[in-house]
Amino acid sequence: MKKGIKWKFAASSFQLTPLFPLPLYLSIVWLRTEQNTKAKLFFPLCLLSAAKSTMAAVAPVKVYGPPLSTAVSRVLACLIEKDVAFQLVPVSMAKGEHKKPDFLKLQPFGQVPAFQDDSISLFESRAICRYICEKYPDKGNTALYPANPLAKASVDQWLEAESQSFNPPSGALVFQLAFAPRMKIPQDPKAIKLNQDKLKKVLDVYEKRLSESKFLAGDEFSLADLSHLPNADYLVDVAGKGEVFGSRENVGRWWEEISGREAWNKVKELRKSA
Amino acid sequence: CRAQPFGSVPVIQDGDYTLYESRAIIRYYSEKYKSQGTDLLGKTIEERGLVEQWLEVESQNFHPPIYNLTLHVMFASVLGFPADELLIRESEEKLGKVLDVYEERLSKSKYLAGDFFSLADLSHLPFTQYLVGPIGKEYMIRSRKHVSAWWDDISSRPSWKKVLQL
Repeated sequence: MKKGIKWKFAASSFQLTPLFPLPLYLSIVWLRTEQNTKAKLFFPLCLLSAAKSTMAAVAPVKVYGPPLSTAVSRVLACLIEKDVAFQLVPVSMAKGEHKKPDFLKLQPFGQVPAFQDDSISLFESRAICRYICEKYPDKGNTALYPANPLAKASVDQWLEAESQSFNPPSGALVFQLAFAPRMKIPQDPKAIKLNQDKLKKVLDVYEKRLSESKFLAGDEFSLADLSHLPNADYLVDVAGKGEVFGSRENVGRWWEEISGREAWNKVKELRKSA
Repeated sequence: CRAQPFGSVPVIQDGDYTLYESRAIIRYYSEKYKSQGTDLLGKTIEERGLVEQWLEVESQNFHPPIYNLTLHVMFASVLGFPADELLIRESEEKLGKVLDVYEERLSKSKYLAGDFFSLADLSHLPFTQYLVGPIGKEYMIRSRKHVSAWWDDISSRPSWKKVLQL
């Protein structure tokens, strides 16, 4: 935990125009202390060029939740792939902030993430990802959720496979092997065995599929592949279960490819600095 | 099973094209036939976002506990394993909490995604039909005023009645 004052800059990006060679721009700086109080300070900043930045200011897109959460990081990966600027608003689950009335207004089930942009408030990470792709079809990676109905249906099919078949056992294993020890919760060997067996069967199906297709839904990386990143990453990096992927030729190849993506590595960096 | 590598149903074939996962199939047909029948995906990107949100809620929050109830109350004896009473109680409790959120939502909105019937509502029909019927827990719907009215509305749609007759 960082001691002292944590500054969050909300920097605006403005274009140089011939009419205003040396404009001064006001920028809002949010001052946030460890106790989570906020004070606004205004001071002028010199002109800024229209640089690409994920530190959004007037960026209307907000994601609420800790980047360590698998569902939150699913949305972050999508936003970064799509090159959509966003602001990450921390929610301390250790302090129970996700169950407080203010948060429940955004997400009535008390789960993370919640999402807002200039026209909508949404929850459920896979719904948010689909929405981002539909709202910004021409930005960033345009192949994530194709417009062509057959291609889109193939992505939906494998997104559902992730959601219904991969997520339950992998999520249970991530909890048992990665989080339970840290939370001082006793592990359940029966649950571990049950979910390892389930996951094995799912990955056998993936192995066959990925022998016929470069990525799950087709020849291009899509939302379907992206959706696997959070749980799989914890399984490999924290739970030490990399061999479930590495022991399968095609799944191993697929995992190397998708986990090496720049956007995913940026999400991991966000986690480290959170 | 060649058509469905996970060995489950349903699978559809549309010409040469095979598709599985029921929620992928319903999304596909809703888009393909968008200009006929009921618009199940809403009319704008924002409405679509809300449909997707509540479809995911059904998939992630509603489905797991009600699936456990279905399996253990309806099918345990048929499939030859002992019904797990603890799991039944826990699933009923979880489902109750989900339905409390639905009650709040449906007190402000006629259907889940807004004032229009959508895929999100439709997706709840099959298992809720089991809940009020053979699972024997109709009280969970009836004790919640807005959920009850919503259930009466969506389950009396001619399309659902046709499904029940199949």
